[in-house]
Amino acid sequence: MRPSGIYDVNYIQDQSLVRTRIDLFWVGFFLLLLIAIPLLSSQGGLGFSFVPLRLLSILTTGGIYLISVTGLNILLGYNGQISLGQAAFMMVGAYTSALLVRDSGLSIVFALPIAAVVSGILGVIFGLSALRVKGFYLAMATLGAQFMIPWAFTSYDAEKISRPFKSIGFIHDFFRDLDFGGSEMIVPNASILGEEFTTTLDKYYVVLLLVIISWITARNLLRSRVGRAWISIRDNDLAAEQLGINVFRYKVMAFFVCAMYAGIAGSLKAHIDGNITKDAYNIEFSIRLLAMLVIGGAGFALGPIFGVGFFLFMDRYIVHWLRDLFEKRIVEVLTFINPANVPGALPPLLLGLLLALFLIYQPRGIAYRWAILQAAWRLRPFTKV
Amino acid sequence: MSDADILGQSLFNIIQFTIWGILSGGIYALVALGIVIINKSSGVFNFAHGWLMFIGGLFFWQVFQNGASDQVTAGLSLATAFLVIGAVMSMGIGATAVRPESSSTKQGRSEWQIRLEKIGRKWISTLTSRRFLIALAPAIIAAIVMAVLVNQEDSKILRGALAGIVGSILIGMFVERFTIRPLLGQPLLTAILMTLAVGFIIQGSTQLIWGADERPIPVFVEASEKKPISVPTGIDANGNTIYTVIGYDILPSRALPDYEVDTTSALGEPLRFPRNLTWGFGIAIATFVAFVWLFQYTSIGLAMRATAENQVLAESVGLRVRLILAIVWGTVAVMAGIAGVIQGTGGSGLSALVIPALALRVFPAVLLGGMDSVTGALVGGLIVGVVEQLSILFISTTAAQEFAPFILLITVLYFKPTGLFGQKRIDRV
Repeated sequence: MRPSGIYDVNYIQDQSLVRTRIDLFWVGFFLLLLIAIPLLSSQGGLGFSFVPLRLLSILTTGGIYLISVTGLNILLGYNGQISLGQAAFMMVGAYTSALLVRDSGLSIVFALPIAAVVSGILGVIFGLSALRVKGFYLAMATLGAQFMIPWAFTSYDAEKISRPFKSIGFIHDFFRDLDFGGSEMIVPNASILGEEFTTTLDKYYVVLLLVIISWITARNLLRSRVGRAWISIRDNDLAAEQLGINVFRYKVMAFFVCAMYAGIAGSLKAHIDGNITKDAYNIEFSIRLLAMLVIGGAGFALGPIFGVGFFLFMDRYIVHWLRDLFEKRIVEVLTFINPANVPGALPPLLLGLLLALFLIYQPRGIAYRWAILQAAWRLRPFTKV
Repeated sequence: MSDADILGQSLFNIIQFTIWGILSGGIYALVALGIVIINKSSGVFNFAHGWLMFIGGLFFWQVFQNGASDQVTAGLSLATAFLVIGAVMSMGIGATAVRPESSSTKQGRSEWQIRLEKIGRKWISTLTSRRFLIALAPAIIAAIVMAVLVNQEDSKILRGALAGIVGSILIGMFVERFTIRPLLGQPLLTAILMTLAVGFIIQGSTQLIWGADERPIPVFVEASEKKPISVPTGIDANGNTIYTVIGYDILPSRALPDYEVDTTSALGEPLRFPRNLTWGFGIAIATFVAFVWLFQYTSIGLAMRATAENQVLAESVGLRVRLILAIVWGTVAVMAGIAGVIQGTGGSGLSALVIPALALRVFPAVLLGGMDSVTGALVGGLIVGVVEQLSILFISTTAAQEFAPFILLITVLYFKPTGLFGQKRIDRV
């Protein structure tokens, strides 16, 4: 959104990340705020304890989701493809990074990029099948990935897999020693240069750093030639092809980047949580991530932030409030509802209803509404929303 | 037997599991048909199909299990439902007819029809009294039958089936009206997300009402025995102890034995056909054939096919496309409900974990057969069933459910993304 009276006179200005001084002020303000928040908590070392540690861990989780949803935004919002397997690719990242840190003793500085690339490559293996053809076959291929990948991790049998490689010593040993730790794998803390990150504060800063890096990367990709190609494919793939854009290549590239972001988020989640629970990375989690993006606003830079924020708020507050409402009041009116079922039933019901309502009434998400509000503010007093 | 081993499994096992695969593939074919029809007519990949199966099965279960306990409510709600469906059906009959009006001639229309058209309620003017009665007659008969059946213990399946069909039609039409229709003209992506949302809504609301327990549908079991528990309470005039019954101990019911075909001389063991799979296969195939007949040989089926071919053209020749779509969704929901009930008679019962996952396993079948081919749905369903059972035999059960169908899906996408019988799509600028 450009303030009135300021015009771009060259391409450098047109593509710049921060256009005006006011933009710069807000970016700096929020950055400083995010850096300063944990210093005011009890672990901050300044003697304050305004900020509860719980808020920090909520923000940390939100940051992890944000990275994953940013990847989805590149795929769905800017390239018009849909992925139902984001959770599975997060799982790949989580296991790759956890194994590298635990068994090879690698620092997370190296493990994280490797995890990202591995899940990106795995994503491409699945994506290649679907991206050659037009239509929404990627949803199908990623649905396959969403079932096959967790299955592979859950039912990995070291003895069985390593047996055929008996003659080749190192491959045999590699497969034999691979241990995914049953249904729950304990992951060591992340460390850089021998310094472990154990406190909530440390974890928060690690995630914040990666959120900023991945955010800038995404913005830079999108304002470059690659990003413009993605957007043109989203808007009209036939026209894009006529312009000389290799549609297949750019679609694969978008999916690779999306899976890479999932890998980064998964790796962080594993190290921050300290464990990998297999059941957590199911198809519901994938759809949840998609819902975050759609409700926030796919195809907008601010979309993922709004979506993740909205979901965190919903999970922490609205669900609890509704649960009280159901258990105390509604059960009395609708007697066929068993109060014991309410806690399990509310989250999917609420998610489904919200997604449906947003798709019908606000299909472009909160970010679009925000853009309209900004325009209204700019045009005041001649506003007509 | 050892002379005929294939990959460490005996020939008998392979034949047995293939037969089981074909039997369970019949159900997959029915589910696949539903997904294909929705995709053809509405142009949506219906990811909520599994949840439609589940909720249809639950309607069946509810009336099947305890109809007599709450007769009045059940009878009333069913009669209402039948009335609603009768009204919609009568408009459905109207939907296939070419619109009666050409505004210059007003012949053959009654006063109130013209008046309704003036206030812009054209659609309701198709609800002529004759059509309404034609459609209402079966509804009233069904409601009376229901009122009689609700009392009787030995007609459980029939009354369950009636309730399941009515409930499924209502749910299907509801889903179409409130979630799919508002998205007409929106990109395909939005519609896919919407079916996912519908899945979540059904998941939440079923769990709210019925809880998360499994619901077995005990059809293929021996009647559960009641064994009275009695305690001695006194001695009568003749000196005999008097026993009073204080309750009943219900013995766990056992599954009825499988059908067997004696092949001992050829294979060494008799081939077994589990009852629920055999009957399920029969019902599924019969339903499949019935719906294919509906689509190929009736006027409403013709209208559905025309809508699937091209919505704008269908509308321009006078078909009521939105109404036809509502009817399509109602029909498909019934198919889903039938498949859900068949699945529920099996060992796992009606489970929110099993049935929706089953519908997702059918997507490989749909893709293998071709997204828009009815023959493809049958062939694809059978192939996926066989692949699944054989991978139970050769690898493991979890592999059969989470790996084998999807590796098939990826393979199809790599080598023949249009499927075996699908149409090749040509994009025009």
